[in-house]
Amino acid sequence: MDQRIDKDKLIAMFKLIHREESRNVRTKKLDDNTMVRVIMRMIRDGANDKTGGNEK
Amino acid sequence: MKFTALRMKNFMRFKGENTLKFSTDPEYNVTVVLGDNTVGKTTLAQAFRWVLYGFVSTTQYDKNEKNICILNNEVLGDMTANDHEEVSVELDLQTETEKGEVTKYRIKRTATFIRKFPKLVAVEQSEKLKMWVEDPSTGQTLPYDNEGKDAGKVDDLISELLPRDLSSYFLFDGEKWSDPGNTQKDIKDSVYSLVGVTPLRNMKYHLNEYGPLGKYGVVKQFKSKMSGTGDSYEQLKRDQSRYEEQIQKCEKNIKDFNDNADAFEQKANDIKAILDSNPNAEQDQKDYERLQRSIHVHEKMREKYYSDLVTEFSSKANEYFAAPLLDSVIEMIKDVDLDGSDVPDVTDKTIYWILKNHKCICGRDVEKDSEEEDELRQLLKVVPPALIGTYVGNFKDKVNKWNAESADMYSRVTGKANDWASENNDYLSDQEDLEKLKNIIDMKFNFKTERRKMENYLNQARDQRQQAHFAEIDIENLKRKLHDIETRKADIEKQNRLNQQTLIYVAYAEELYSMTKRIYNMKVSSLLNDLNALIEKNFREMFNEQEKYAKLDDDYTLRLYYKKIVAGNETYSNMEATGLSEGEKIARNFAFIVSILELAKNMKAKEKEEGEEDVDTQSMPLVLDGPFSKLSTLNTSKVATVMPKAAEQVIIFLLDKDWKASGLQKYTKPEYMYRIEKDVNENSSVLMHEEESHVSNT
Repeated sequence: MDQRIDKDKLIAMFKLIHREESRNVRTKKLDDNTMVRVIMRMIRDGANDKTGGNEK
Repeated sequence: MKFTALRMKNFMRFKGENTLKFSTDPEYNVTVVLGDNTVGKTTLAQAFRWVLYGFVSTTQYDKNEKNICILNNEVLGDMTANDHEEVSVELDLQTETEKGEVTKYRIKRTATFIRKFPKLVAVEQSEKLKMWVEDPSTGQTLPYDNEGKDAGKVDDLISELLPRDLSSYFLFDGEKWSDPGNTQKDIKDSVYSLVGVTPLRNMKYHLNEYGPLGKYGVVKQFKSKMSGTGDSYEQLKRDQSRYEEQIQKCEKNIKDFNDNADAFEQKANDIKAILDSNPNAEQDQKDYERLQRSIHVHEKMREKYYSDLVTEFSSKANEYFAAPLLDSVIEMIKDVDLDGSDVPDVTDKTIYWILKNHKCICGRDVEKDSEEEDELRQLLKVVPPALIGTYVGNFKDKVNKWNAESADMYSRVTGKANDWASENNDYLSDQEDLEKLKNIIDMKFNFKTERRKMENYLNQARDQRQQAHFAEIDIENLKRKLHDIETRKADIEKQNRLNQQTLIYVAYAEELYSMTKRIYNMKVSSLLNDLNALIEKNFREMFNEQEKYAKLDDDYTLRLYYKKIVAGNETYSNMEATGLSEGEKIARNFAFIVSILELAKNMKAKEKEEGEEDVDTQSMPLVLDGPFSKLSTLNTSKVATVMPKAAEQVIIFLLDKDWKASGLQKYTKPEYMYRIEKDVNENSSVLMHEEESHVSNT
């Protein structure tokens, strides 16, 4: 794994994106930029992001 | 996910308020509602449908959805023309994360009706959908609307919790057990959704598989944000230092130009000071120059007049001075016959020449001693010198002419002499004035020249100031260019920083992709096998089936197969069973539904146990309306006992006979046993706990 990657942050990111994707699946609202936004925000703001799931 | 309560007000068969609470106990997870045919068991299923999705389905009694009125008939009957009545259904539910965090939801749909009086027809006036979510971390309840700026918000939230296209897996209508069901794609999508694979598949897709070669995927999107900047940055730096040098040069030039201008202005001022302090001197100098010019002109004119005088005098002086003598000569010859018997223009020499040559000038011969000769000799007496009248006449004429001319010459010579004298006087006068001025003026300082010099200095100063101004404009332009360069450099520097940042984004996105792919492959590879193992087990357990088995094929079609068919000497294995009976179709579908819920439940439990990342397997409650009506008593028992183990929660509406046959009592706490009662004289039904009901008490 790339040394610049923080594993905790990566897992938090995975969970958040997965949650977003799950919502997208269920609401049929696909947003291709969701992940770009999530990754950028989480790298910027840190891994302890609890609000991402409700962001829309 | 589990339902916790259902509250109805004036909903279809249920007049007033009726409440149903559901068991959330993991062991005793069955809630049962008993009731005879037509008392309103299906109405309960309709209440779920209406509150969640805003519609009620047709029933075997009424196939036209529009004919179904959700306002209770008795309430409608009691209404007058101006009355409004409300129908509402409220559904409470909760979800639990793998960490045991519980989020509570309340969904309420309300419709207001008026009556088309006096007809017994209800007209819906308005419908509202609201939702409240209790945040587990704060305990705070947030309300959500479905209207205005929040249009569709609650619908979205419901779709997140209980997607409508999965409703056929948790909201089950016994009458439709044997329906052909969903398409293969729907089944596949539903299976993927229920076990949480779809979000993974979409993640994978969005991360690195979207578009040709993943062109629109997240990884490529990040990569596309990178931009090469080295060369252009270096070029900008070169331009920058060039412009800076040019500015320095311009600044130096401006200083030089201004210094020069100052110097020129200083010189001009010095001259001006002198000029200003000598206002008369400058005028005297001007006069002096004017006199010099005037003297020069007088000199020239004087010379000319003198020359004319001399010329005039020289050409006519002999005649002028001869005039008095000529007068004496005229006196002397006054007696000469001037009438002129002499032959004009012939002299004795002419006659002697003819006599000598014996030939006249006309060509005739003149013989010696001839008459002609004699004539000629006679002529000698009338030609000069014998006779001179003609000459004297000519002489007189000339003398007269000379006299006239000499008189004229005198006046002309006198005129010229006067002109000369006048010029000479002017000359001498100017000369005198000049001599006077010479004594006054300091000729070392030429005011005119100095004034010209001063103006020249001022022009040069202006020119230098102008040059300085142009250089300032150049500096402004260069500064603007420098500013542009600074901006562009800053952009590039920012881009370089962004590139560093973007590389990190790319690293994360790539790692996320490989992680998602790994989890996805792991789940999908075992999914069909796990599901079919459950289908086979449940089919066997539910229907005590030994000959046949149900299987979801690779194409996601649910089929029944004979394990073995013996025909004559041949034995065939795994032959598909076609032409299925109604019972077989029900069995097949039942096994599938229960198995898929069981798989989801198992996976959820496994994930919880392994503490795996949030992969969002859906655990669904199972709401069943009269599921066993077409099953035998034996099958009912077998099917029913599988359900509490397979689904997280079972809510079941049943006839008493099916309840007894089901054997579900051991999964049901008494407080979660309900009964729908209806007085034979009443139109409406009432929901009550089984232990309080008349049926139970009798």
